[in-house]
Amino acid sequence: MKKKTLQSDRLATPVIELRDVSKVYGAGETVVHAVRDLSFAVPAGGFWALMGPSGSGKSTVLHLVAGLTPPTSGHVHVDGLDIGEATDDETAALRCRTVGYVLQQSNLLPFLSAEANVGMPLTLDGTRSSVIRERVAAALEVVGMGHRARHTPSQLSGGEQQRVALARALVIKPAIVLADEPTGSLDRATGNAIMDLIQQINEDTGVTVLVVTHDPLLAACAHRVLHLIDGRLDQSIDIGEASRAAVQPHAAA
Amino acid sequence: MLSLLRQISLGQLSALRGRALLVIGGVAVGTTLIVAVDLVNRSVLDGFETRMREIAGPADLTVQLGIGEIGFPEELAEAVTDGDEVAAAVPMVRGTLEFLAAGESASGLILHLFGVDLVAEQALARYGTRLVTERREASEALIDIRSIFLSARVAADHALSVGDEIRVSSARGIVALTVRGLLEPQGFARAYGGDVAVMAIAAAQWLLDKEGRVDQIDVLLADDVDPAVAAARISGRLPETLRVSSPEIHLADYASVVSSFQAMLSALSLLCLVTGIYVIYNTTTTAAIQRTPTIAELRLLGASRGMLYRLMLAESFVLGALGSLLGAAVGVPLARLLAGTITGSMGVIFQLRFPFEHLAVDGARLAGLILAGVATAVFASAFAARRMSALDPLAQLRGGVDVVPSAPSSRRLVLWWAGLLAVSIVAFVLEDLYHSIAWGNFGSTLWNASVIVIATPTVAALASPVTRALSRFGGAAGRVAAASVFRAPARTGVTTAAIALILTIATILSSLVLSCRESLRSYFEGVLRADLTVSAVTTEGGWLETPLSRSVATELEAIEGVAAVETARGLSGQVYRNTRIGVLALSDGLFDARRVPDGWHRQGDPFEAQDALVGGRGTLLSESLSDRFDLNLGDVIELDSPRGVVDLDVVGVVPDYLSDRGSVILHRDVLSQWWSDESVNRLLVSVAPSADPAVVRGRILRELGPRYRLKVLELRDLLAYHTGLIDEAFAVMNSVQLLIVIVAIAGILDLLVSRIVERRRELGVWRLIGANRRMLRSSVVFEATTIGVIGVVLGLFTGLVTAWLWVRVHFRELLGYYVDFHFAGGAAAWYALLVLVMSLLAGHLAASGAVRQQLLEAIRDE
Amino acid sequence: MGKENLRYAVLGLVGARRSGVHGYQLKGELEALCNDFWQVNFGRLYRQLDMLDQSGDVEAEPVLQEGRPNRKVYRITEKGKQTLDDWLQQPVSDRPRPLRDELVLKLLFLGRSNIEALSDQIQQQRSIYLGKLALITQWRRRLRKSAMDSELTDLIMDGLERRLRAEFAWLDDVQRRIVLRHAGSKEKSITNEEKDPSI
Repeated sequence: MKKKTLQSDRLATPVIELRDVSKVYGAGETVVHAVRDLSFAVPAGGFWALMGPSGSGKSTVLHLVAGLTPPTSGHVHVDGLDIGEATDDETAALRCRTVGYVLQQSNLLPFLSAEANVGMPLTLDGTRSSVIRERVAAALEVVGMGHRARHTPSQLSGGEQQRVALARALVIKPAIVLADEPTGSLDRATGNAIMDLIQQINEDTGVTVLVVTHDPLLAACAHRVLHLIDGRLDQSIDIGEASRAAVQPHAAA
Repeated sequence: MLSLLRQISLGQLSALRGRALLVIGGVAVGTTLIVAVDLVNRSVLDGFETRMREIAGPADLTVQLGIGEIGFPEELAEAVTDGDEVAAAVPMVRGTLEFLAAGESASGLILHLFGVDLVAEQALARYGTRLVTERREASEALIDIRSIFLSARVAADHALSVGDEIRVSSARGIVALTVRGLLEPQGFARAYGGDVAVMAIAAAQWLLDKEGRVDQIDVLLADDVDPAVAAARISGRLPETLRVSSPEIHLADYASVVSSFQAMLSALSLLCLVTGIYVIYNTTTTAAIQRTPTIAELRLLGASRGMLYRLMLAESFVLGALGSLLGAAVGVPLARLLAGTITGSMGVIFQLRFPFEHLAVDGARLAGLILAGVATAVFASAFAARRMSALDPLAQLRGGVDVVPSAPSSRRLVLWWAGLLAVSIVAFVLEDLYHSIAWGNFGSTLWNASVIVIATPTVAALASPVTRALSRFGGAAGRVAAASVFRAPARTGVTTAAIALILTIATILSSLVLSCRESLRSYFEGVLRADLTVSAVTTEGGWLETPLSRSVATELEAIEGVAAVETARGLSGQVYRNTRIGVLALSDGLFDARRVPDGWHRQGDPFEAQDALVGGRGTLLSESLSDRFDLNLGDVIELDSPRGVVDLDVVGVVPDYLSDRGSVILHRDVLSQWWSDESVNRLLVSVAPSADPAVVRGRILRELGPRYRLKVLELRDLLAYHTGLIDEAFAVMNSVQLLIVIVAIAGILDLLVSRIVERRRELGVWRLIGANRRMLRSSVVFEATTIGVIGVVLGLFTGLVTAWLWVRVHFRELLGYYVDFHFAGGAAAWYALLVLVMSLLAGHLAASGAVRQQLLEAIRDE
Repeated sequence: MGKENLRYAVLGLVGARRSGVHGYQLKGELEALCNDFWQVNFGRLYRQLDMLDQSGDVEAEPVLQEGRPNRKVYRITEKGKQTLDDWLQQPVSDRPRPLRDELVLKLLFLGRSNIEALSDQIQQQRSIYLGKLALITQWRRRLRKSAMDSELTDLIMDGLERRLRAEFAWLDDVQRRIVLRHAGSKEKSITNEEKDPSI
């Protein structure tokens, strides 16, 4: 069943591809296998979710894809870059230009305005300031924060901060957005709004989204959910199929 | 990069304003001092140069003894003139007079007197100045010996005109002179800031008690004569001890004399540097801890390691530049302010009057110093920058990273320490062997660095005993404190190292001053002991008073209550093997072996030496001279005198502080015979057993006062006089020390406070599980105190050893004085107390801040 | 949901709208309320409405529509309000039930003997839950686009969503506690959460 569903995804070119990836932390007594023999490929424009109990290695997968850490074995290809072989400058450039990253806690820089926070990846990339201004305004508009551009993070609510963080991930016009529990620290209503926003952005711009979440509702927005247990792929669920199945009267109940 | 600098750095630095200011302050203080010291030094040398030029005038060559501070017989002028190559030879005598204002009160004005041959009418013109007055008046000077020409400036300042009578104090006592003319402010009349007077050479010789002697002969060469050839030919006609050289050479001579003082200052600058680098290193590291989340965030957003490293270096470049510019801006006025102090120090050390007329600000040099300041800041913060940029963003994502130097193992640090120690000891040994200041500075810097390196292993080693002690003494609070202190030995090590460094530096400098003071005390309470010491009021620079005529001794002996008068003549400027040394000539009684305290003679025996000394065959050497030139008991020393080379047997080696590079102590008849010098600087009066020194003192002042400007000091006052001079000599160092201490203490406060602030959350948890405020407060105070105590113990220990090394090894090369080591326990204790109080204060500050915060606020996630 | 309850549900939904409601609107709300999709077909719904109309609890009023068959708008009557009130006053007859009774029985009987089958069961169930949640999201989006007053619908959707979440979480627990522990005892693999730095 797994094999079959994975193959059906190969219709589009994968923008994220993991082949037999393992990641081991520590050494000796304290060795931890965060990810074991994991393979999957996310097609361009895909919206995938990673689920699983705490410690199942979901976040590690995001770290690998963001190039924050190299795999212990196997290959991680992100937008054509082999993470295991890449230099620090290359992975930095990847985060700067290709991958937008959103975390559970909005990790905005507290001393900068929303605007400056959103513009930071472009600044790091050495973009001209006039271009930065333009794109920052556009990104803030997309997440509905255009009116609060000059506020500092402490003046924004949790949901607003997360919107700004999302804008910051989007401002680089990324090929991929990675989100680690983006709704984890928000109340349900605010979380749902962020979720909708992510889904909408995926649909509107065709950006590939890989999200780690505990929230089944957010996962259900994805095209496909990968359920990890103990660093291994436990189950891969095609949400389209699942929802069609749920409509069928045969459904258990 | 610029916009990053503007957004990230500006934002962060304004949040960490205190830290940023500390870095700027650290750089500024260092730069200020270095700029000020360098400026004064430059200015002094510049002043020398200007003066040399002004005095030298058009002279092609100058004949002098050594570096020209000691006179020689005037007959030699004929030998100089006796050749075709010489167009004219102008003998000159130099000295100082104290100008007495009306009522004979001291005006403080020292006139630099030039005695020249007024008969040779062209003499003045040759020196680039002219008389403003008519020639008729001037010719009076040929008839009247009590005639003087003053610079127009002095005359104007004191409302004097031609024909007026002035009174001056001289070796001959108080003398009335008639102003016969005024000198145009040109040529040498501009030297010494214009405090210049001219007399006929014979009159000047009499007044200065230099009859039959001149200080230099300026030579004008005939046309088309090669100066080098002429110099050789003139030398051939003179005693071998006289030098014939161009005026430029003299400047180089003086520059080399003061070079040791510059070495001393550069040694201090190095101390500043070590402290400055350390403070900046600490501050940037502490700030780095607070900046971890930002850095991790930027890494997450795609900043590469190299970019962050460059960003942080750029930041420290900006801070360093701000600090350096500020330092330079403050340094220039400070130089003007310190000029007096520094030239004063130099005067005491070298027995010279140092000119300081204007600040010689050299733009390129200033720019160089500013760049050096910037480089220091960048270097010192590079460590933190490296660590920060190497930060693993994942670690931050997982929450909380310890960017504190994850210390290399204790064993590795101990090895490093041993290495540094070994190299620095080798450097000190090399300094001692080769008399190399550079090696000493190198060794001293490494030594200080070794204090920093050993701090962490010391803390680690102390962990278990101190924990036990704290638990027993402080109960739960003690245990919490111990856990916090030893959780990260590297962190604690950094703080204790800062404390130890301050104490070390403070101990070095205090011990240096104390050692000098105590050594001088033993000198003046020992061999030079006298009930009353009589001397002129003025000095020619430094501590040694202006010479008086020997006849004063005879007059003193006649005074009731005076049992005996011994004389001492200190002559600085004697040159021995290209080194400027001192000659101390004493009268018979001062060689009495019974005066000599036990152990005073480092070599030889006072009783055996006595006859040779009184007989004029032998000489004592100062320890410094003996060591520097490897001259020992039984050797023969050859001294260049105006009348030729004098051979004297070395009959003993003793401590002596007349001159920085060493001195010879010989009988005063030797001085009369070979140097034709009859004057005395100090008269040591023994009071009859029945008489009261204070009464005799009054009597002396009453009887000799009207004729001489005398200073009569009882032993106590004499010691106070010298102590004051030493304090003056070390005034610069003291101010440097104070600045170092202030900056370093700010650094320590910062470290201690930030330690606690970082632990706010933890402290909140402690309160949550039931610890009360008092317990937390005392645990924080325990912590600060423990760190303070460890630092103090380490600092006192290293301070003791380092101070010994400085006094006994480094200082001997730096300034040249061989003083005995005296540990400044009192000063060290004061500094230790200061540091402890500071630690307590920091602990209290941080604790009350941490404890007062709302419980919920503390445990809430950032 | 029992037949009785279905009737009161329909009555309540009608009563919630004073201006009246037509059957089409009611269907979606009822589906959500019934904790399942597409089980309530229009036939069943209109049967209930007819019965209520006959008992005088609701009144139906035809609305003329151009070019299309007339639609009925239902309103609650005074009697209907009384009926609803009486029912609301009665104590709730429902007892808390284990979630997904059938699954519980299957899990129980599959037990530890057939871990493979149990795992498959859990995976299938997870897929179903995710599918349903996906439908809820779609539903919400659709509702948001229509001009309907959505407060009540939102509440109903929320209730459903929460139940699904709870069951989903419970499923995870079952997997963790039965399947994984069993597997762990065989493989001795390290699953200690504290040791995993990527938590």
